[in-house]
Amino acid sequence: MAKIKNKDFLKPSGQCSPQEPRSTEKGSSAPRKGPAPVSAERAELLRKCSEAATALRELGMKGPAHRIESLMAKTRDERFTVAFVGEFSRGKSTLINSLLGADVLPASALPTTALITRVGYGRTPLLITLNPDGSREGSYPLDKEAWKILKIDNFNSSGDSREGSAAIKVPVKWLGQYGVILLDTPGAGDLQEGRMKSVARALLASDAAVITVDATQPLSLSEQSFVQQKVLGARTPFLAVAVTKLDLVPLPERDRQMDYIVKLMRSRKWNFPVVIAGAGVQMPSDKYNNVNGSARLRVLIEEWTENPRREALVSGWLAANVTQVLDMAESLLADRKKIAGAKGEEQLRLRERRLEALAELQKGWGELREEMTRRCEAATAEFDSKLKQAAESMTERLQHEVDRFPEPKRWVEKEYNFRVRGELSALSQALDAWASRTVARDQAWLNGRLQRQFRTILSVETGSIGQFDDSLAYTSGESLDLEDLRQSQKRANVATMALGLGAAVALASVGGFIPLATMGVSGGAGLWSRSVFEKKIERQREEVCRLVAGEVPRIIREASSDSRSRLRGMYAEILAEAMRREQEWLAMQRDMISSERDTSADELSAKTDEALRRIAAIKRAIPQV
Amino acid sequence: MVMEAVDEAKKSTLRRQHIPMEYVPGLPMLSVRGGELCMILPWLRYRATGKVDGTLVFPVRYITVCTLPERMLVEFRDLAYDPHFAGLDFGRACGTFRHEAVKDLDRKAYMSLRENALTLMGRLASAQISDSTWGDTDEKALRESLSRLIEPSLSGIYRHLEPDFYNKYLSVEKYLTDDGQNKE
Ligand SMILES: Nc1nc2c(ncn2[C@@H]2O[C@H](COP(=O)(O)OP(=O)(O)OP(=O)(O)O)[C@@H](O)[C@H]2O)c(=O)[nH]1
Ligand SMILES: [Mg+2]
Repeated sequence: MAKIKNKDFLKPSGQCSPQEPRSTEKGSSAPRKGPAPVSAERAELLRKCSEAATALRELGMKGPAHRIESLMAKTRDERFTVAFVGEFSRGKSTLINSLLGADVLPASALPTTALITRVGYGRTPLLITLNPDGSREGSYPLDKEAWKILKIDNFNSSGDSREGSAAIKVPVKWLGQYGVILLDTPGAGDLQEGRMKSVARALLASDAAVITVDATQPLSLSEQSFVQQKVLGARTPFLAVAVTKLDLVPLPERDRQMDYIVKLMRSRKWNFPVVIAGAGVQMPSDKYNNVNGSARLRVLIEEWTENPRREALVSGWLAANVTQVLDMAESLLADRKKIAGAKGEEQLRLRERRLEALAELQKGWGELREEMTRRCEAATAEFDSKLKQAAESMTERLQHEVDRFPEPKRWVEKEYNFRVRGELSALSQALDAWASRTVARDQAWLNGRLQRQFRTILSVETGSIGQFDDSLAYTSGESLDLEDLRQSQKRANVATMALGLGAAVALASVGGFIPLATMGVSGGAGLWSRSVFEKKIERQREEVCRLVAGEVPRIIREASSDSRSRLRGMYAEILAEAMRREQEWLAMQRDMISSERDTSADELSAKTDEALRRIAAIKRAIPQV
Repeated sequence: MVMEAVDEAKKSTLRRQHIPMEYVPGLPMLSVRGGELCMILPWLRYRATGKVDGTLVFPVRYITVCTLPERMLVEFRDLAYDPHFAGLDFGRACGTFRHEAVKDLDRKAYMSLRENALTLMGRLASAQISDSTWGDTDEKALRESLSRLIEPSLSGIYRHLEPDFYNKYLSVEKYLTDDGQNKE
C-alpha cells in the first residue's frame, strides 16, 4: 500500500471552530420526515449503556446503575441553544417570531425585551419566570397579558436591569424535533453594563449565536466591538449574522448594502454565514437569493445541530463517564475478590481495616476541601493584585499618551474610548490564560491527593500496593481524573468529567480552553467626556490625566467582576464534582461491605468473578471516542 | 488518478451486479480510512422531464469506496439501509439540474469543469502519497470548482458521508468571496 504522508490532510487547519457547511438552495439538506434521527453510533452507544445499567443492577449495584441512567437521560435532554444577540431594536425578537411562525415574543420600536428568554418546545404554550438562581418564580398562560412581564416597560425606575430570566414553551414542532432552544436577549447597548453581563454569560452557555444587524444602520463601531469582544470572545462554536430591516432600504440599494455588510465582515475576518431576515425581502437582483429569508436561518440551525463534531463530543462525554462508573464498579469488585480470597480471621481483619480506612478517607476529605478553598482564595487574591497592577500600568500608559497628545480634548473624544477597549481586551486575554493555568494546576493537585488517598486505602486492605496491579489503582484515581493537564487529551477529559454536559461540549468545541474572562468592555467611556469638553486647553491635560487615574481602576474593576466570580465558580465546581464522586464511591463501598456479610466466601468469590467478567465485556463494547 | 478510478468504477462488475442501471457517479470525495487514502464515490440518478433545467435530481443512494492508488474496493453501501438516512425518501426528487451555480454552463462547459475538478482531485491524491506538488492555487481551484459543481440539494448527504472533505472543498465560501459577492 502507498504510504500516506499526512493522515489529517482533510482536517481543517488552525483553530478548530467547526467549519460550517452552508445552506444554499432551498432544501439543501437532505429532505427528512419525523424527528431528528439519533445517529447510528449514538443509538448503539445508548444501547450499550443501558445494557451496562441493567447488568449493574442485576449485580446488586443500584447506585452505579442509576448513575448511568441519569447520564443517558442527560444526553437525551441535551438541547442546542441559539442565542440571538445585538443592540436594541435590531429585530432580535421579530426574527425569533418569524422562525417560530407566530408572534410569541413582544417586539416594538422601543427597547423591548427585558429578560433573557428561553424559547423551547412544549405541548401547551406557557410562560415561566425564573429567579436568578434558576428556580421557578411563577408560570402564566402565554398571552398578550404575559408580555408585560417580558417587556421593559415593567422595569423598575432605578434603571437597573432586572435579575432572573424567563422561559417560554410553545408547540412549535421544529423546536422539539431538533431539540433547539432560541434565546432572546435584551438589547446590549453600550451603556447597559449589567444587562451586557447577563448577555455575555448567556453567550458562554450557548451553542450558537445569531448576531442581528440592522441594514439601515449596519455594524456601527460599538456593534463591531461588541461582536469582537463578546461574541467571538465567548468562543461560541457556531455563528451567523442576520441582516434585519433590509426592506427599509430603498430597493435599488439593497444589494449594495449587503455587499457593504459582507465586505465589512470580511475585512474583520468574520467568516461566518449571513442571512437576510424576513419572509424573503424583494431584491434588485438574485445575487443574494441563496441567503434571503428567515427560512434559510432555520436550515442553518438544523445543520448546526447535526454537526458531526458536536455529535461526537456528546457521545464522547457519555462514553467517558459511563466507562468511569464501570471502572469504579470494577475496582470495588476486585477489592471484594481479594477479601473473599483471604482466610477466616484474616478476612474479618481486612474488613474491619477497610471500614476504618473509609472513615479516615472521609476525614481526609474535610482537609482537602479546606485546602482547595484556601487555593481558591489565593487565586482570587492573585487575580485582584493582577488587576491592580494592570490598572496602574494602564493609567500610566494612558497619561503618558495624554501628555504627548497636542489636544487633550480630542484625545478624550477620539482616543480614550478606543484605547480603553483595546487595553481591556489585551488584559482580558492575559487573564484568561493565567486563570486557565492556575485552575488547571490546582485541579491537578487535588487529583494527585485523591489518587494517593485511594492508594492508601487499597494498601491498607492488602498490605501493599504491589499486589494490586497498576491499572486498578489508576482506575480508582481516574474516577476523579484531573491529572496531567499538559496533555490536551486529558484536558478534554477535565472538561468532560468535571463539568456538566453542556459546559463540556462548549469547552471541548473551543479546544478545551476555559473561556473565562470575556470582560465587559462597555465602560462608561462616553459618559464623562462631556464634563471635560469645556475646560480650557492648559487645564485640560491635567484634568484628563486625573480623569484617567480615577476612572481606569473603576472600569477595570467593573469589567472584571464577572470574571472574578467565574474564577471562584470554577473552584466550587471542581470541588463539588470531586466530592460527589467521592461520596458515590464511599456509598458503593459500604453497600458492598454490607452485602458481603451474608454470603459464603466461595460463593462470593465465584459471583465476583462472574460480575467482573460481565463488566469487562461491557466495557470493551463501549467505544471510546 | 481519481478520474481513472471513477472510470473503472463505472465499468466494474459490482456496478453491473448491484447498482441499478440508471445510477451514475456523482462527485467523488477523498477520505482517509485506517490510515489509507480512499475515494468515496456516490451514485445517484437523474430523471429528465423534458424541461430545460427541470431534470430531477434524486438523493444519493449507493456509495462505493476504494483505496487509492490501488483501487481496491473496501466498501459498498446502500444508503437506504443506513439508519442515518432512515427518514429520507429515495424515490422522491430532492432538487433539479442545472442548479444555480452552473446555470450559465452548457453541456460542454459543464463537462469540462467536472473533468478539470477530477483531474485536480487526482493531483491532490497524488500529492498525499508521492512527492508531487500541490499548492495554494491548486487548493483554491479545486475548492472553487467542486463547490460550484455540487448539487445543493445533495450537500446534506455529502456532508454526512465525509464531513472533513465536505467542509474543506465542497461547502466553502458560498456566501463570502473576496469581493464580497456571491458566486454566480
Ligand atoms: N420593516 C422592518 N421592521 C422590522 C424588522 N425587524 C424588526 N422590525 C421592527 O423593528 C422594531 C424592533 O424590533 P424588535 O424585534 O423588538 O427588536 P429587538 O432587537 O428585539 O429589540 P430589543 O428587545 O429592544 O432589544 C419593531 O418595531 C419591529 O417591528 C424588519 O425586518 N423589517
Ligand atoms: Mg426584543
